[in-house]
Amino acid sequence: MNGSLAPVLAPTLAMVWMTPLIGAAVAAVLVPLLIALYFLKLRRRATAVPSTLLWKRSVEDVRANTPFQRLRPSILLFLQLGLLAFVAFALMQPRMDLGLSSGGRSVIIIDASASMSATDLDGKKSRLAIAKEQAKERVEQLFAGGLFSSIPGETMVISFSDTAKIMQPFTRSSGDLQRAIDRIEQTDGGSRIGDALSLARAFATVIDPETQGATASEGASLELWSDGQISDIAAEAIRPGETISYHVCGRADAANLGIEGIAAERSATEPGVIQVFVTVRNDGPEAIETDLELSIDGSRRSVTPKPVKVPAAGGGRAGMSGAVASRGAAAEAAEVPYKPGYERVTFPPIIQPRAGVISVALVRSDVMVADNRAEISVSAPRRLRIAVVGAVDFAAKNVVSAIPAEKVEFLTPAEFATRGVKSDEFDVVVATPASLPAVLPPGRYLILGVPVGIDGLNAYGTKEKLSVRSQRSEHPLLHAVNLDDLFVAKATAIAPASDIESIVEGPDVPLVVVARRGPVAAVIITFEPLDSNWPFQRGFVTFIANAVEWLGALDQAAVQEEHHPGETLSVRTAAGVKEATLTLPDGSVQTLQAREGSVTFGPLVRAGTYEFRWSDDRGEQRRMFAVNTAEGEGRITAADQLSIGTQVVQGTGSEGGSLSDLWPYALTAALILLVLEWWAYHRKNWIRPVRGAKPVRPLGAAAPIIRS
Amino acid sequence: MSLFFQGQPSRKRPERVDDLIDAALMARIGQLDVVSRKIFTGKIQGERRSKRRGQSVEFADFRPYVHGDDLRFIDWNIFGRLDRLFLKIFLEEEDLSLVIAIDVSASMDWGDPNKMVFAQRLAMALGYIGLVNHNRVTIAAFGGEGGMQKISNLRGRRKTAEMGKWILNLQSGNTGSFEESMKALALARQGRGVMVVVSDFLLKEGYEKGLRYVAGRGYDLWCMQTLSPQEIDPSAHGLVGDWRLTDAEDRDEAEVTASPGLVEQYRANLGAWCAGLRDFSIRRSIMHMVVDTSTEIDALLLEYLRQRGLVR
Repeated sequence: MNGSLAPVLAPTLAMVWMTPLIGAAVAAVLVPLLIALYFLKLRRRATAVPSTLLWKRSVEDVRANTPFQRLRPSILLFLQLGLLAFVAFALMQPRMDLGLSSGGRSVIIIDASASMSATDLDGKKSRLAIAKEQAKERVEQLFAGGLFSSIPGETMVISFSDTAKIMQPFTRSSGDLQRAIDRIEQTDGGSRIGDALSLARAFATVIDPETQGATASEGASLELWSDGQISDIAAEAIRPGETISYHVCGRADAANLGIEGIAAERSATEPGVIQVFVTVRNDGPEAIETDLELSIDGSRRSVTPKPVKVPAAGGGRAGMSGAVASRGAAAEAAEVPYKPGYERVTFPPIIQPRAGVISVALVRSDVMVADNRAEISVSAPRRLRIAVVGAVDFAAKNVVSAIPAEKVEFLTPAEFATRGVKSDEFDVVVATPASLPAVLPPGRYLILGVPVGIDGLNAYGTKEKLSVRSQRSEHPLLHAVNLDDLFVAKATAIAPASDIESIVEGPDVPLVVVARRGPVAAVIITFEPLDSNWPFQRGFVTFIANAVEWLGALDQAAVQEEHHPGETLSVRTAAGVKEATLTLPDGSVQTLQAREGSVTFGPLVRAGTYEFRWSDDRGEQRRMFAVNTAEGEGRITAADQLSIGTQVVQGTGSEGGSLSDLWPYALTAALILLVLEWWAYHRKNWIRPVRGAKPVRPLGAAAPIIRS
Repeated sequence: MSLFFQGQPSRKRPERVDDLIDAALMARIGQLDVVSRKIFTGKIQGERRSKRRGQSVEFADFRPYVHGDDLRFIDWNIFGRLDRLFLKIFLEEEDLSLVIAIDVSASMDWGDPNKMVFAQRLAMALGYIGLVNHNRVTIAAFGGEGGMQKISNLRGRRKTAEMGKWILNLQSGNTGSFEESMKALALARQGRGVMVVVSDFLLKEGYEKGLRYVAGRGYDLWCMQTLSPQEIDPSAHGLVGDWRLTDAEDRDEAEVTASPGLVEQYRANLGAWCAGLRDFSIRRSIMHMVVDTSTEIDALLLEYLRQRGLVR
């Protein structure tokens, strides 16, 4: 978005009163007292004088018979009233608040994503720890008034990374809020604020009991502690009535080097040999050299022979402090998309015939440790067990037969109906739609046609004479598959549901889709291969092989696997297994219940190695998962402003609380008024020469008594 | 300087004639005489030289003879030399009427030194001078107990004690107005002379009407405005802070906060009041003097009044 044109939201200024009751009480007592003093006549000493004639002419007080005199406008009265007002103001302990209003509802939102683990602020504490401290200070300040404080507005605490979590619903308890903030844990996930905003709005919305209509809460203010690297921030918008203040956590010039991706591949010819590929990402303004070391199951196996030089990031605002970047430079930089520096590293082949967790780490420390290490788990080399069910055409049958597999069995639909329910007998099933039962048993299928057993495909007829319009070439299924010459004579037209992934598209209809329904995963070709020219193309062979390998790799038959926080881990076990244990990256062990032949755990929070163990009739089974820091979290440059929808929210510094005490200023003003009052009082009593008065010189007086 | 307003004023009342005028003062002022700027006619021949030409032994001037003049005063020597008739004119000696009117109203019985005591002593001293010089001395007291009182036509040194006792017995009070008193004095005028009015002239009804009765009616009028130091500078004598001031005569009250500014305003008003009396006096040939009651009587008579020409 164009930040320069967007309206910039200044942080909302609001006044917070710590002890309004004290100030109000003082004002309520002293101000009427002061005015009453002005009404009341002075208690005077009495004396007799020869004549009151001259005094009456001179006197400024007028005699009145009532105990009160008329209140005359007096500069002294106004100064004293002002003085009292300032003193009462100071006693109320006013604080200038940036964002959080004490009267309305407010939501404290704290980013707990991986980038918040960077220690760029003071080198010791992470951004999250500092953000938590600040948020707690904020809560303390809001509730600091003690006995005489006003009742602060309800406050809520939400933390978010990939998903949002309500740490504390709306409450007026300072202790609950502090404890909720303490409970916020660092995650290695990404930053998505959408859920947090939805939750905050849901809780802040007040339902009118009469109309049953929802009205936006009055003065709901959001207070966000984050580094501004939020992936979905541009898709959100500030709604009318909402105020948001953004506390920047982190430095705008923070640089980071991390491992962006890791992949491992077993050799097709030598299954015991693994090759590991790593992508190193640089978000700093300068190129960085680093060594990488590779270890398997904790033992070091390889180090890069020479340091890897990772190029600097370019475009965007990489490495450019928002504070120092000139407007022109910022505008110019904004036009160039941000592009981090990448360097791909390929380790020499490693012999690893067993399963294990491969971990690659940077031999270098920086402010963010979480992404300096990436892991991937590889399973032991194992060949696939493939079932071919029904009248699969010869072309596909030949291709499947040629795949190096442990076994390829050709089954009739009836045989599959009896044997297929045992989910762990076959890794991949290649079938025609007609040969499959109405309810598909758990498994992975390559279906040459549109089956009825999968919801959401929504077949509605046929289409003829189709060619490929688009394909997702990056998908593993289409690796090295060229579909430019594919011509389909007739295909079943489907309108797939949104969760069904279409990877090859015809003019109006998908041609190849991937569907996942719980334990069932299927690659579906919407036409019979023999209704096209595909079987006669080299890509068909590659596609079938890719599909079988990819389907087989979806679970434990996979060669390699990598996960990210926010995802859910799932392990398929034998049908009779009741429970499994899971060892978390921090070493703690959890016992999980197995349901319908699978054990799930999630959503994942921290990166590291997760190890499942369970026992079945084949003995103790073990399964390891590698979870890496969320992608994109390596960019830790703190944004000094947030572009929310079309609006820009200016961040406030992370150096301290945003509440500033106002009572010293009030006291200073009171002192100034005191001095002014003193001056005014004495000015009133200063001797002024009176015009027209001639000196009276009594006989015998050495000098004139009365001067003019 | 005593804080007059903070405590009780000292009231040293004269009890004997000697308290009014002691022998030393008598001796010092015995040589003085009251001077009138006007021509006076007395009923009996006095000891003073009158400005009126008459049958005294002291030659004054010549003037041409006109028909009807007394032939006894024709200077025949000049007639013999010039063959023209000239009349010899002699200064006539006559007695002087000295009227001393003192204000004994309640406002005068105030201050330290007390204004009334000061007025009594001044009247005693002036009266003594008048008696010694065989003037016809009248002492009048107005505004006091019993209204207008006077002792008239004292003459001769032997009347000193009588006059002193009369003055001693004066009591301050609150009766009679200044105007009425002056009117009574003007009506009771006997001959011409010098009239000295001793008062503070702090009169709410004003002094103008009263003075108009006695001014220009054959009296050479002197207004001795006596003010106590406390009136002239109240703040120096402890009038600081909040006060309820009660008028000594009509019990009227004024509430004041005696701030420096107010006191300065008061002093300016007092100055304006005195200046108003002085201007009034100048227009009517009245001599006006402001006298601080802390002034010594002998210094007042021997220096100031001598300089101003009341006595010589």
